[in-house]
Amino acid sequence: MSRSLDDDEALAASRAWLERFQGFAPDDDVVREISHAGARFAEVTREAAENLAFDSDAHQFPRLLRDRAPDDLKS
Amino acid sequence: MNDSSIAHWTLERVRDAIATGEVSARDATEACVARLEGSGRTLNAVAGLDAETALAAADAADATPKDDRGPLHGVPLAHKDMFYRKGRVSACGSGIRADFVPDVTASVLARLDAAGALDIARLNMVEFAFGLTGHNDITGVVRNPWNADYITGGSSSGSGSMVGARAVFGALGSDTGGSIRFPSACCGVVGMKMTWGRVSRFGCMPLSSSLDTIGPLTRTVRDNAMIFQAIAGPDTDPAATDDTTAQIAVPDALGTIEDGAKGLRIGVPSNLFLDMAEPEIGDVVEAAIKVYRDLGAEIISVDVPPETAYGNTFTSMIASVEGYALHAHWLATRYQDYGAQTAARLLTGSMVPANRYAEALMLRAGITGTFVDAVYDRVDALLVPVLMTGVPTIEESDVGANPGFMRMVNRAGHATRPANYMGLPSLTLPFGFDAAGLPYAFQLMGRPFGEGILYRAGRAFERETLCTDPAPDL
Repeated sequence: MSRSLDDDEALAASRAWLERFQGFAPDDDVVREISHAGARFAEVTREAAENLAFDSDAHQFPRLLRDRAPDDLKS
Repeated sequence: MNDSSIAHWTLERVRDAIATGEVSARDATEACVARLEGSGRTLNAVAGLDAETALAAADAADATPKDDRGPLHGVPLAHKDMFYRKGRVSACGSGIRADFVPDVTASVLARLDAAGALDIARLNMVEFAFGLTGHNDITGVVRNPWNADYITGGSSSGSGSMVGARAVFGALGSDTGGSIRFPSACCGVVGMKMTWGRVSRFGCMPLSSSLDTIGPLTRTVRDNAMIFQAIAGPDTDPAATDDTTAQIAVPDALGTIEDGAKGLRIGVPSNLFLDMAEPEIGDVVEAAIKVYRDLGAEIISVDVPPETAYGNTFTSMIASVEGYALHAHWLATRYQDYGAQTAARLLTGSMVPANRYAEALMLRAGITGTFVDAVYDRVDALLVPVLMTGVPTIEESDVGANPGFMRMVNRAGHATRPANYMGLPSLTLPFGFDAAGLPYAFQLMGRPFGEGILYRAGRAFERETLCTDPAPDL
């Protein structure tokens, strides 16, 4: 499979990251796949965080579930 | 009594028969052990089975005075191999934990013990519960009881396979991104993904604390509600406390389960959930809607808030990051002992910037609140698909960690992961079969802690269509 220079650079950076912080890096195909997935996760989240209001306190989530429960179960 | 006929009963039927003395717990257990040793082994669903211990437990159940018996007394169950029982191996579908012997018992198992149920076997699962197809490079793929060339779905693969095969009367699974609903759909059984916080996770193998939920797979809706009643609610033993379990009342689901669909408001999403689906899946959803309409339910089209779409990506990301945090040491020291896809998906968590992970969690309350207010102010349950395609073969879905596998993972969970991100309950029901004889299914998503009304809606559908009656010819 042919690769662009950008892909080669991204692959090398991901390999370096894994080797430094994980102690090893798997095969190039796997590194490329997980690197692309991580980048996609980050991009989707960046877009969401820019467009949606969010609560700075993640612990509000359990409270929200309880608040939205059927009324007869809350008492 | 013919053992094989007992095995085809429902959980409720065998429970009642044990209570009246029509059959003994030993009769029921012998029937299940025979099927686990037969189709269970053939389909590679059994991780551990000690027939002698199972039958001894059944004999002890038969000797228990009637006044000391619980609501599931003597009923043989078996569970995904990730629920710890003190002193017994729990391998979690892995080689790394093949010899792991926990020193605690999971709260869900303790609750089922207290209800009188028998825990007779450990069932195979996807490695560390991280995968939707059911493939497992370490313990082997579990096979579908309707056709052994097809996947069971994962990660509760053995649970789906053995409930579908009529080898046990019910099984626990876990659902982080669809892992109860996928095998329920593929194996033609009923599965409940509970509200996040509805069932204690104490003593259960963790994958992703923000997302993990525990729930039952059963042959019928009523059977499922019976296990729900036994396992839902916060821990009462101070030594076994999962503080994320909500302090909220457990409804009497069995008390309202026969109330029918008349007057229920069934929501049909006008967007998002069918975006990636094959036409045949849309046909299944349409047919299910017609059943509810004919039953007197009000069918309401609902515009799902567009940000709901983030739930798929965020669930994959959160599970990868939290799973990676749990597995980083083993990944560094025992990488070769993982299956290719499990390791790759866990390592994906190392590629996510910490602020993005935190943002996904911080957005959760807002996205969930918007969804719940937009949907459940108008309807009681939202009817959506489970899989985007018919059940695939083992071969065609065996993508491992090959290039493009994350695209398949993303599509597979399109309709299931939003419920995990938003912590919502969702009941999967079988409904008909494709040309290859594999089950179709759909799910009913409810409001937080709304399991009770989902059981009512599901039971009305089951009663009308007899959708849970067919059994594979094994």
